[in-house]
Amino acid sequence: MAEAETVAAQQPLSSESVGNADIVIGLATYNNADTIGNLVRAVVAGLPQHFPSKQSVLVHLDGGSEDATVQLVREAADSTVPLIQDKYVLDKFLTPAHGLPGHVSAARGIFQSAEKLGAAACLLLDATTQNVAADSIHALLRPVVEQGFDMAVPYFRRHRYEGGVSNGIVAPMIRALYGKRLRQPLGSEFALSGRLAGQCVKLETQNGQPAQCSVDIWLVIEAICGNYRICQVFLGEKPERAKAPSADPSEILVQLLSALFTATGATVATWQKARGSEAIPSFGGDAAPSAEPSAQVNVKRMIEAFRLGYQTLQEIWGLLLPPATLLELKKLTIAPDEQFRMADDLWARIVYDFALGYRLRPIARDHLLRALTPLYLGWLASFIQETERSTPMGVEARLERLGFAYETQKHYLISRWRWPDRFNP
Amino acid sequence: MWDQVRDILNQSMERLMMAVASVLPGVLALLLALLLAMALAWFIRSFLRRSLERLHFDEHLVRWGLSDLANWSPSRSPTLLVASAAYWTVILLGLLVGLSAMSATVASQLTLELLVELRHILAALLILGVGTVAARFLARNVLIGAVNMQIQSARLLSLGVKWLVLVLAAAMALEHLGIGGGIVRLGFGILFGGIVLAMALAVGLGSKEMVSRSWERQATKTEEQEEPLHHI
Repeated sequence: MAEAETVAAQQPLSSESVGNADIVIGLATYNNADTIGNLVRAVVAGLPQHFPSKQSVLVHLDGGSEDATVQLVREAADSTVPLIQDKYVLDKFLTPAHGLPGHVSAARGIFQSAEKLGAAACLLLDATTQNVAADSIHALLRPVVEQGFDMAVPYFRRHRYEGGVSNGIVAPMIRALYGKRLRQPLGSEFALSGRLAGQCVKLETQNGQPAQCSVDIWLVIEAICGNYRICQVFLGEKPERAKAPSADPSEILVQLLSALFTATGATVATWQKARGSEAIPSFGGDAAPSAEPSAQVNVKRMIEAFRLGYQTLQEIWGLLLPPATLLELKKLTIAPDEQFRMADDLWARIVYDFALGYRLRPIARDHLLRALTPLYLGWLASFIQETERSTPMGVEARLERLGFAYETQKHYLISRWRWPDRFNP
Repeated sequence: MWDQVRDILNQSMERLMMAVASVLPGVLALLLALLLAMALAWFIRSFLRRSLERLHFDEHLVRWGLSDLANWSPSRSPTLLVASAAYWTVILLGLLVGLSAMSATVASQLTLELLVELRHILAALLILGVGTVAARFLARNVLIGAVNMQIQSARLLSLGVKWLVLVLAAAMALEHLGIGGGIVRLGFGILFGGIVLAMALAVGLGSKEMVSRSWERQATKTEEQEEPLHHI
């Protein structure tokens, strides 16, 4: 790590001078002056109250902020909680769909600090969080600090149509492949044990390249494959972020699925052996989707996007999808809008085919993942239409059926993975 | 008199037969050299293809970071590309050997001129090759991007980009070879301009719905306006 800056106010310290710590609160920032003050105050105010016997340290890594972020952190940090400040390498050309640019460098820096300090628990926070509730931060830490879990993943109450990629692809795929039912595996806040943080310092993929985006997916899969104890913590309504994640589904699919599919390729031995799935311990209560009135979503445009994709991308989809799937998609294109429904089995097989295509590379990976966009929009349109009049519990049941479909289609993925040339349904 | 005519005819036949007899061995040598070259080229191509497949050459290229070469190759297989290149090289060498056997003077002059032109030919082939590969890659990029932006004329745009790059590469190759001169430049200009105009029309017509939707949203902002979905 680079040497810590030495400036006035709450003088930042170095790891060596701090010595040991029980809890490391990790903050990675880049131009977060709007939100960082409140966040740091909420964190440091609650630490002595919730964990009075634990030595906590705040580790702040900044990517070269051009506003007053660094100074605001120093001012907000309480003198009872030592502050370590340092820099991380920021890749300004990489704009992740969610989280910070340089997410990997920042996370690695925080894990290294936790390892040096011998911390038993490490909490990664999202510096863009507005109106943070102090109790929620400490609720996320508690299972790791007091109950021996290695990883605590937050989940929130959200609008039923939010998180399409998470609900429709990432969560069910992790459930089917790795046997763990995580509600919302994508997030920018996690609590890890010192043991797991030390293991994650490397954060490498199979090819030795660090994961550039979607640290969350890597962390979750690393924890599952390493047989670490994972739990999830309900933290209420999803807090607003100062910087909204990207709304371009194409970009989101490229970044998230490249991490997910790369991890799938790297952990073949694990997921091919896993059978079924189990619920992981949950704390904090229920997170059925909010019952507020539906947001105005243009389903017709999504269906049109799907139809345009079918008309124009058949040549590309034909490299990845078997004829039976293409026939099902053709039937969908001629279905009336009101009856547009994509079966769960079909969607699961499509995602698995793209995962296999990502591994075999019949076309450039970037093109492959972008070509999934019309299919994803088609699935989302189908999901929205099916759940438009459902109760919150009805939506949960619907997502449960989707996850089960991914599980039942897992044999399809295994067969195609092992014999990509021979298997042709 | 008829005896003289017969003698003259016999002499001219003799000269012809001698000329044929002097050239025929060379021609036969050329044909034999070509046949042997083709056989050798076929053997080398098969050997190279099997060896490279056994060595997983394509996978190694991808691992060494040259995945784009695999994606961009016409046959999507660098192994086939290498094998074909070796095949045609041996055929060319066989042709030169055959020509040399037919006539040392002709062959040496030809070889000299060929070597001088070879540099230009190779550069032109390289330009064409790179252009073809780039055209295919860019066309696919534009196709997928336009579909995701819900532009109806995505396929037309993609085709336009592909032909733009191909026409550019062909014009550069011909310019390099010094073929055509002004006609090629003029033809290229007309063709290039035509393709650009066609693409501008395709974008304009294809995205008019998107533009009008955007204007409607600007003009009629209500509480029930569509909010962007958060997909994460």
